Amino acid sequence: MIPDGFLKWLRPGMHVKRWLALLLVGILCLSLGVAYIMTHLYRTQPFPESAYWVTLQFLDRRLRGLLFLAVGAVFAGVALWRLSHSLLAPLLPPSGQDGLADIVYRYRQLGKGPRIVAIGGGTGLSTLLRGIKAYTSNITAIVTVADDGGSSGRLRRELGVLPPGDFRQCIAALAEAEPLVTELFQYRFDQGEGLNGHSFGNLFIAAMSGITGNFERALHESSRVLAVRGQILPSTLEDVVLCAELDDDSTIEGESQIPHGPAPIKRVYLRPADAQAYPEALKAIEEAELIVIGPGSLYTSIMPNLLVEDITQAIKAARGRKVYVCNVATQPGETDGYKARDHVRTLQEHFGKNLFDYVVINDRVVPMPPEWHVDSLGGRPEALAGLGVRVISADVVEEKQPTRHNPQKLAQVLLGLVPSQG
Amino acid sequence: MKENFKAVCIGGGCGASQVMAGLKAYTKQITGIIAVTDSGRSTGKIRIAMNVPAPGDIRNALVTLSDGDPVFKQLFQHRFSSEKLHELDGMAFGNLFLAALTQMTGSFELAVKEATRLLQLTGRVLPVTLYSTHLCAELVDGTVVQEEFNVRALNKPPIKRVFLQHPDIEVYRDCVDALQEADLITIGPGSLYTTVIACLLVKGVAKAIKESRAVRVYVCNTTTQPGQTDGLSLSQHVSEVLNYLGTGAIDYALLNSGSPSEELRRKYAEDRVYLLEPHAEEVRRIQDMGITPVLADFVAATSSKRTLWEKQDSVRHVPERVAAELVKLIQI
Repeated sequence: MIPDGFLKWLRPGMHVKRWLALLLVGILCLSLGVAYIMTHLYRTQPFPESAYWVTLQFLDRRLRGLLFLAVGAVFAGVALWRLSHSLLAPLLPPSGQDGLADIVYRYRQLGKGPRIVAIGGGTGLSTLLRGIKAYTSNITAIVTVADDGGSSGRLRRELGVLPPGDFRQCIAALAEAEPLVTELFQYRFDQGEGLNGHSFGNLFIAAMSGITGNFERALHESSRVLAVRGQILPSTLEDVVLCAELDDDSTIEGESQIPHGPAPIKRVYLRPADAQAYPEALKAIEEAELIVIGPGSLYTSIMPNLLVEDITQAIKAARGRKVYVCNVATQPGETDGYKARDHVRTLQEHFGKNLFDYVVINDRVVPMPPEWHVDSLGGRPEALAGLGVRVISADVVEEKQPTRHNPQKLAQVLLGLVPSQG
Repeated sequence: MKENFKAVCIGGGCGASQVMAGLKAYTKQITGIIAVTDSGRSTGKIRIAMNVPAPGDIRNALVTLSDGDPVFKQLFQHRFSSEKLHELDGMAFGNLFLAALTQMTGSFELAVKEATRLLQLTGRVLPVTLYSTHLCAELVDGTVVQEEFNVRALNKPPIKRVFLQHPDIEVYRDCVDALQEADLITIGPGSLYTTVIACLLVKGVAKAIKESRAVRVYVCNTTTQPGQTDGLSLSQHVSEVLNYLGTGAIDYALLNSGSPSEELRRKYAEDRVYLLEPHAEEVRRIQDMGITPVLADFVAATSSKRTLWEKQDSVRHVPERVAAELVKLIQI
């Protein structure tokens, strides 16, 4: 009876069978070599009496062969088994619900998953990441550094680091570390003057910036120690400020202030306008099979990334398929009264018509309680007719929290759009 | 020598963890029992903010024993600096880690265990108690000062006795188990009142040490420490410890017979830090207490002076030399 765990090792894509085969060939060559030398010695040298007994010559030759084969196979098998255990035991997670074979399988399979770039920020982006990380580890999240509210904003002003909040959410979404550590990363201090309201993960990234000397390496190291699947990159490393021009021609500065303006937003822009894109982000966009824009706050999470001009240029030039995931609800202060159509049009007005080819909208409209001051977004594909985009309407909403996407539903729709997977 | 013997080291984040670092070469079963009454700098800030047992010494001990990713060690010791944010300025990240985990899980014990796992410790670090309390001192002039930071403050009358703000708090259960099973118990080195005796004051600790069958060793400091042991001789250090522990609770005392360079001694003297020298008379007094003195050179010739935050440093023990002497004692 072969244990189930053993068969798992022989599944395709484990990169195990090929090495087992090589090992067998190696053993075969070794045995042949030894046999040749022995034959030569046997023919030229006198052998002591004991050799007769040690080599079991009293048995039939075929039986002898089978016996040595069996003993050899058992020894080699046990040696391999114990060797891999000795080597891997310290690396295995202590809780260990998943066997080693499962872990290796996941690692291999996900490593071959499609290359997906997700652009946005905040809760929307982390929702998306939570879904697609089940399909691929070739994920790049591109995140804005224009955030200036809450704990992030305070750290930005008081410690002079780039705002870590959106990065923290992405790291938490993609981390493979122990659940308690991930939970801690999202933990918000709720007492203590000066600490109150700060999120632990933000302080973690800020401390990492202090150790490594810059934000970029801080992200890299944080991702490494928390075993993040994929990579999380800033769209720019410059200290940019998001500004908005309103319908009443007044202007507002600062991402966190924009939703509180006196009039609807006319357009947003970055200061400085010529911020340099983060080169790694451009490379990821260029190599991606699928580029996903959104979901997330239209003006304050998605646009700050796209306003870095090289990012937009790179998306337009990229060969991968480009998708905009429209929000499932309007956002107070930003997109009040907007329909899905207005979202798409606003993006096209800011960045041109050729930024994306597909739009994913929600077709399962859940009524919202009036006290939330939000409207459901979505509907039939016809709603977006004439905008020059292909519309995919599907049920992507989270039923328990209808202002958000459901990670699994959304990931399935998006994976269907990857050329190599379709 | 007993294979993989069980060692328990009592003290603070610096002294005790140095002993532990030395013992790591001989055994994996090391338990640090660490004071939680520190109230200086960032530890003090986080305690005011969140009312947790002091994480500072625990943090130091954890980092010293860590065999894990060096980044975590650096992260734990990283101090924020911000002129605009007083509460966060000087705050060690490891303290925030322990405080956040304590708040999140509701248990300081679990927080320390999680940090132990994350830092991949050889051995373990236990807070002497899971309760938050403060060290207080009665001075010779009768005044009482509260909190560790004030107990070790400079320019005040000598300390008459120290006590805990909450004298009834219980020792952490795992500490008692560790002391009962130990083959070797070390006490110190470290600040006499504010770390060593601060641990011994916790209800249950002295009793467990007294009843233990382990070899019990007091590792005596190399120098006096301004603010708490000015003018105390070597044997007075030992007798102070015995005062709080009870006679017969210590088998050996490790005394430093080495001497740092003349220049360094002069530098220390400028800060009123004086070497504790094992003169024949001192050694005899220690013997009279029923303790076997063990003399050896524990200080490195290259010792240099460190600046600690509002605290005077003493000449440090070389972990390897202390461990080598300790191992000899359990062979006897």
